[in-house]
Amino acid sequence: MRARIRFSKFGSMKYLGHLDVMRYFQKAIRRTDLDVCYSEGYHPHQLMSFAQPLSLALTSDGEYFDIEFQSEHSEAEILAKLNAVMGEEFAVSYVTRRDDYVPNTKKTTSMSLICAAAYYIEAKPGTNVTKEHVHALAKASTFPVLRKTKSSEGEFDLCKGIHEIWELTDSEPVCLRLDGESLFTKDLWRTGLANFEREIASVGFACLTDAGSEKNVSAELVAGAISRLAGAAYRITDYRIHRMELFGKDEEKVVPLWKIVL
Amino acid sequence: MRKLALSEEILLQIEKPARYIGGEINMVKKDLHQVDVRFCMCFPDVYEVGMSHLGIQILYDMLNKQEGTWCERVYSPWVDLDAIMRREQIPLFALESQDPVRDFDFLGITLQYEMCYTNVLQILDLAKIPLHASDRSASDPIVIGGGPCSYNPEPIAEFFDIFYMGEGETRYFELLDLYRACKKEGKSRYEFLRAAAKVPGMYVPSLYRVSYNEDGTLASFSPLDDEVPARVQKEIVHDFHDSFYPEKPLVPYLKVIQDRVVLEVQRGCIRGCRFCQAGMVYRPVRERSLEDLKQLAEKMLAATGQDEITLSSLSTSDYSRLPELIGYLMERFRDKKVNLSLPSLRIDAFSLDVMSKVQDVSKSSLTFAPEAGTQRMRDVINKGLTEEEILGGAREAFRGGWNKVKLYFMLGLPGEREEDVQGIAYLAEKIAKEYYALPKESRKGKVGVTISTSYFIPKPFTPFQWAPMLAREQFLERQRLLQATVREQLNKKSLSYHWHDAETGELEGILARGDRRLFKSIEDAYRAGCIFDAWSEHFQYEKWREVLEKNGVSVEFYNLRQRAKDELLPWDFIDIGVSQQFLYREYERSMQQTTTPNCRKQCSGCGVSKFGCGVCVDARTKKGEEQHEG
Ligand code: SF4
Ligand code: SF4
Repeated sequence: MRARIRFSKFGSMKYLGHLDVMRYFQKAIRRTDLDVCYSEGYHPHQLMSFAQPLSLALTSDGEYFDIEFQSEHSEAEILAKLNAVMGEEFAVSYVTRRDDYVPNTKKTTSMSLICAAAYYIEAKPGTNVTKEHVHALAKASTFPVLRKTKSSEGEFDLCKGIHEIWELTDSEPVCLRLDGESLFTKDLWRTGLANFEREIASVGFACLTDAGSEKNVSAELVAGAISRLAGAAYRITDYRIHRMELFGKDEEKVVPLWKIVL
Repeated sequence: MRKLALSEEILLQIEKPARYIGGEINMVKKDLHQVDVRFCMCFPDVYEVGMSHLGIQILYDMLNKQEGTWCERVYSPWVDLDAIMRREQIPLFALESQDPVRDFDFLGITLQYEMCYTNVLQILDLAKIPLHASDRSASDPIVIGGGPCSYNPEPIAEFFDIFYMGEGETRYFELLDLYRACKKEGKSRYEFLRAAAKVPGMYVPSLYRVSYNEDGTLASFSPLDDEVPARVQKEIVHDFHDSFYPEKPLVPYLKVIQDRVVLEVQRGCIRGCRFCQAGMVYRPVRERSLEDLKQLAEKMLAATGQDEITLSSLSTSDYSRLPELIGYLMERFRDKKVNLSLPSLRIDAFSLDVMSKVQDVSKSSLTFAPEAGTQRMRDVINKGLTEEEILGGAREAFRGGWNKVKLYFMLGLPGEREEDVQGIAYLAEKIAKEYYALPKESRKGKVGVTISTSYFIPKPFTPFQWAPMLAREQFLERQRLLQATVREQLNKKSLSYHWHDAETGELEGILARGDRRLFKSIEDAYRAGCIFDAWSEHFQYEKWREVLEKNGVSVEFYNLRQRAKDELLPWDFIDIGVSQQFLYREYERSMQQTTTPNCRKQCSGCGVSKFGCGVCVDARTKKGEEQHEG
């Protein structure tokens, strides 16, 4: 069977890079008795693939990987077994059993489904970022930035890649920017910040950006734009960035990856 | 979020911040209210090296089994963080609690190689513990050293309160209980150290007095008074079945050097190669039972999720139940896809068969360590590996599909002649010829024979402890001779030659057989900015040279001279069980090119049988012991 696993990486685990996280999960799965599938050859590896690598310094409640098991397991069983072997600052939140793939078709990976990501970004106290800078970005109609992708490096209009901006206040979040239908549901606010402690003194906002291998807009690009508006050079240590969720297209609807059974 | 000692600003500007956050799987956390002794275990090198060391994992697990004791870890901060900690006055911290090391009761430092000595000072300095034991006060941790280099602790004696001689499994609980008792009775640091000196295996350097002759050799080495033992005998585990082994080893997040489960099959070695310190100080060989090993493998793999297991010992081929163990591991973990890694197996039909099952033959290489190029020289060093064994092994391997061979040698062994150096190239050439003697159809491309040489460094407690070491220039000459001879060979295109640099060797030689007076140079070198000397990119030969010169340390005196049989050596007060008579007899036999059988073939009466365990007990039945001891 194939399953999609959603997990959180938080606290001091922000200091692990993507490769460390992959190695961590390979070992974690081996600490369970789940019969994971392996590749052939002298150095078999688990049939496991991660969606959208998260850089060192970021935390997340919306991380995903795909995995295959030799026999059938219930989602609840996989969830319980994985959580029984997790370290203190990792947690598995959803396990989605995926439809078995049709022979002779390419397997869909989580990575290939991704179209958007939600981030929560907090400028630390002591930086000169104010909520006005967040408002300015939300209101901007164009915002040219330099962007590097796998294939190219060039100028890009950041506004085309940010679809929502929400300001976080003491009470309800306030929407500052929205194209189309909002993906910031009650559920997202809850599941996306489950393992993140907001710092009340900080300027915090959430955003929805394009994601995936083609047109990815990283959270650091957004934070960099805020720094520019505040007249400061961007430094990763000025912000705390938390990935809240990754979204994919299910038919034509955009939903959190764990809701997609493909 | 777990508390961290370093701020995010710092962690995000250094390389691999995960080195400093702890929190690994199977890390031990304790409630400080239930803890009365805090022990910090240190490997004075970078995290990825230190985390790969089995000894620390054993002691970490063992100490944490004692109620009231919390053992944590610390490794050398890499140079990037080192600079920041100095600039910002951040005290060195332990990984588990992230608390300053200075607040601990004990700091235990394992000494695996001489080139870590400046890192020991880095650790003390960053922890804000006075470098000199004599400057420490009641609030400083007791600094305790152990590991192979403590078999000559004298060059660093000034920096340690205690050295634990021998295997850590036996006396730590006793030592910690003594500490508890002293603390309860309000005894001073000095009183505790005096009492500790009476615990078997403990050497408290400050309780001994040393004097020197005019020629610089040691005149006397004696305890301050007769309550302090004159000799310190090493500690050993008699039976591993009743001892400790981590069933839940730590699982690092970073890729460390030894990123796998390590199964120590035995300790010690039966072979008695005359240059080998480990072979002498870990005598006698003691095996773990097959049953224990099977269970340990099972538990460790389940608790770590590692995908590889390695068998560890000085000479794994000599483990008497090896075929059964390997067979079991291969069978049992096949479905779990656990990779079996087998370092240092002797090449023979059995090992080739096993290796062809566990590794991709076309990608892996075959390793031989003849250590010397001619039979004459191998007899001198008592390396019982014949040319026919090497060539036969290579032939078999080539037939089995291997086409890469690695050969390890030492240059500058006692009595080495030109022909012995050239013999290294000739042996490599013969191996290449074996390959080309195969019919063309069964060859897979070109053969690759790699020769690596290191420089022979005489070590304490070996038969060569009296022997002179070569000077740097002589080493270089021999290396050039070998290089030229390799180039003259017919198959030179298939041979490649790598060598170690001779500068590190010179310093290692001085530190290995040095005395108490060397502490000044080590401290000065550290003050001059030397750390991570074991890393060639950080080793600063020129600085070391200057410091040694300034302090009047003579290479001639420490490395190049022949020591007399009756010279008092700085490490003579340590009793490793092997007698001095035996070591000297072995030295004489080496000069006559007479070999000595291994412990399984025949006991040579080295003296270690007084421990009454391991191979000596098995060997008793096979005469020999009485002959020598009688
Ligand atoms: S085989 Fe020789 S070199 Fe190897 S550990 Fe034993 S004594 Fe030392
Ligand atoms: S006493 Fe004999 S059997 Fe025991 S280690 Fe020494 S030589 Fe080997």
